[in-house]
Amino acid sequence: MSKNELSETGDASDGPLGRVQGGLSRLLGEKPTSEHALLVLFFAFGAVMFVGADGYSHEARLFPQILSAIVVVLSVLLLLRNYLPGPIRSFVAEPFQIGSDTDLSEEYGDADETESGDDAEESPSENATDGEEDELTGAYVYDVDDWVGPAVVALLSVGYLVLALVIGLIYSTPLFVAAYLLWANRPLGADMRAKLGSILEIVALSALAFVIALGFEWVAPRSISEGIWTGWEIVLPLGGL
Amino acid sequence: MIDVVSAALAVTPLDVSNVDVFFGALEQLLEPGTLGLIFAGILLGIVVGALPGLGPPLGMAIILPLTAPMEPSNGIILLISVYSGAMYGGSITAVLINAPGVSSSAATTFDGYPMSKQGRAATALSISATASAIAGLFTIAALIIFSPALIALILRVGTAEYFLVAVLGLAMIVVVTKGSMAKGLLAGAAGLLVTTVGTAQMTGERRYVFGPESLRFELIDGISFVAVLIGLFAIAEMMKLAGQQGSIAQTDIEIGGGVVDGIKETFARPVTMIKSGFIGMFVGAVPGAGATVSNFIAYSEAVRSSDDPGSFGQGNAAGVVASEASNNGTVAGSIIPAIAFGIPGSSSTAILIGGLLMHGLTPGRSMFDAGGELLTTYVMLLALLVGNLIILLFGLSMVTRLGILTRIDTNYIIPFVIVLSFLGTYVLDYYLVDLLTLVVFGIVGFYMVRHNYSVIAFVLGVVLGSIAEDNFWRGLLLGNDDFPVIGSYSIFVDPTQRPLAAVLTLLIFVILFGPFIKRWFDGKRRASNAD
Repeated sequence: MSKNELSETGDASDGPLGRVQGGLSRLLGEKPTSEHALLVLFFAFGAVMFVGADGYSHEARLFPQILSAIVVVLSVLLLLRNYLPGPIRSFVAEPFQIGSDTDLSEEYGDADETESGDDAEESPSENATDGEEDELTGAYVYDVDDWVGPAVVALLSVGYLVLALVIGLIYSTPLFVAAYLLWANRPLGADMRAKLGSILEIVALSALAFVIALGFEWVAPRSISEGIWTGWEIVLPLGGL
Repeated sequence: MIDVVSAALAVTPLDVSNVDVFFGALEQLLEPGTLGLIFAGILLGIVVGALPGLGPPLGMAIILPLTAPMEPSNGIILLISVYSGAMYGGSITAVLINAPGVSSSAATTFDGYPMSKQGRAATALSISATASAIAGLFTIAALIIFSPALIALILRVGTAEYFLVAVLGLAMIVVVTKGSMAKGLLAGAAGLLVTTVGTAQMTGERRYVFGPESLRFELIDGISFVAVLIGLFAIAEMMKLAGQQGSIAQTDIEIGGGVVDGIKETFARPVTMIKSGFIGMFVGAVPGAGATVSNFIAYSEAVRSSDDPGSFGQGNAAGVVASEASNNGTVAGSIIPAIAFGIPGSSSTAILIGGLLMHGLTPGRSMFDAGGELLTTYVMLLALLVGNLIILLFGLSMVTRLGILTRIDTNYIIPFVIVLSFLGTYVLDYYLVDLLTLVVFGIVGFYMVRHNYSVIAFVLGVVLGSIAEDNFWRGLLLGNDDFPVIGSYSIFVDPTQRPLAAVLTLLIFVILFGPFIKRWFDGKRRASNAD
């Protein structure tokens, strides 16, 4: 298992988290990864949509229930792919292309082998696509060097959303840019001059972000400065109900 | 099927109404405002394509909400100009720092970067601009010349065949993208499921509308596919970029070589350029394949047909010609299935379809109907033609100054792309739920791409979900009451009444199940040989 994958999955050696991960490993037949979390999310999404459609009329219910059933079944199959019998596992887990002569089950090994191997948590597709692009295919997967970066961007985006709700987009925009640049420019340079330069840069770019937001406020027909603290107004579609 | 094809080929290019529409489009194109939009879109596309980590889908996703107040044809022109410009822009970083700005320029690095290291960066960039523009010009020109036959063919495809072509396209997206079929199907189904939130078309019932009062009001309109697109292509891409290192030029790059040399080198290889352009065009028309696939196929073909294959990878100009001609040729090929059948050849064309829908234009026959939106289609094609001329002029005149784009720190790009995504998404409808959608689908999209769940299939589901549900119900209403789905489907596969439908149905089965059946037979054969 690569260092990146370790940092993504965590160390399952000891502690309560380790015991939970150990249990999940036994259940799934491989070490839990973010892909399993994604599949659980798909499963939950499908299950909620399936059950939630019960109260609707037949016409409104059928289409979402068929789709949510497909989502639930496929996510369960993908979660438990290491326990599936040969032909079904071939459909669920193995990558293939039109005209491919490669027996991919041979190429990527059996479930039993991956269970015990260090690369157990890597899906076959991840093995197949080490870089961003795999030649002559449409496959495109992200190749990430440092998992902290995506996590920070995601967290700051959530923070930006919450701030937009509370104080409006105009004021939250420069704060978001400043927060990101403070994180990205860590540790703000070695000496005082570099530190001052970084701070000035952050202030200037945050001001630029504020100007961009003001530009939207100026062009847009409605104000984007309203939040809960600044008089957020509920938008009523269909001319109000 | 033979009837349809022969009828299409029999149509004369002098169809008066189509010619009138063509000249109407030309008139609209020559308006200063339209030309200004093309110029702005191409420049923006070049910048977006040249910045490492960005690319055509991201540029188009950010621009998409900003086109909302525009006339539909102008909005589409801006989007498609960004697309075309970004296809060329990706070559700049590929040549200068060995990091393609877009994945469709990946093969350009093989010979473009060695040329740069040999002090011939300006020559490589000139080859890139010339090959991109010339290939873009002749593939679009070919499309316009053959448009009468294409229009006749598309207009003669019946409703049932139309539906089956869409299913065929979906099937191809699932299988062309390398990865498990189950993942592709899951992504597509989840995308379709997202569109069921909101008001049901058939009954007007509110589905999955919950939460606080303000959220419920906003959900009545459903989940905005524009917000989903921006989340998937902007937020997810920025998360990826924040996790990558080494995509920025660390030192000043000396751009040596000559512009004129580059033009001469390109025109000295007309066969490679024409062949690669058309490879790009035809591969680009295959749903799910896109410019990256055509890029590598064209490069491989250039190596195969060369008298000196060993020189490739060491700064052979033919490698840059093949790569760049193919990726701009892809643009022409990929827009036809997108606007005719709503099937995207790539992420960029998926966003283009989103743009069409946002402006009230439905991909399909009306886009090729003289009484419908044929004018918009022609304006789009002509805009691409002009856009390629701008690429040629701008690319050649700015060759020595393009290095500056490679020195922009991604840490400045990331927060501003996110800011533009938030602001652009919000001003569409002023719904808070759109911002929530943006963030949620950005994070989910990041992990989907990370684990090879087809994001194109997901986007296709989100963009075309309401049309799919509408067609689903039409099918059921036509079908047998006892066995609705089977009953309705039988109208599509009667080989005596609908031969094209039968062929399409067969193709869908071959594409989806062929590899499994072949593998099963191979296993049987191996087992019998072992006995």
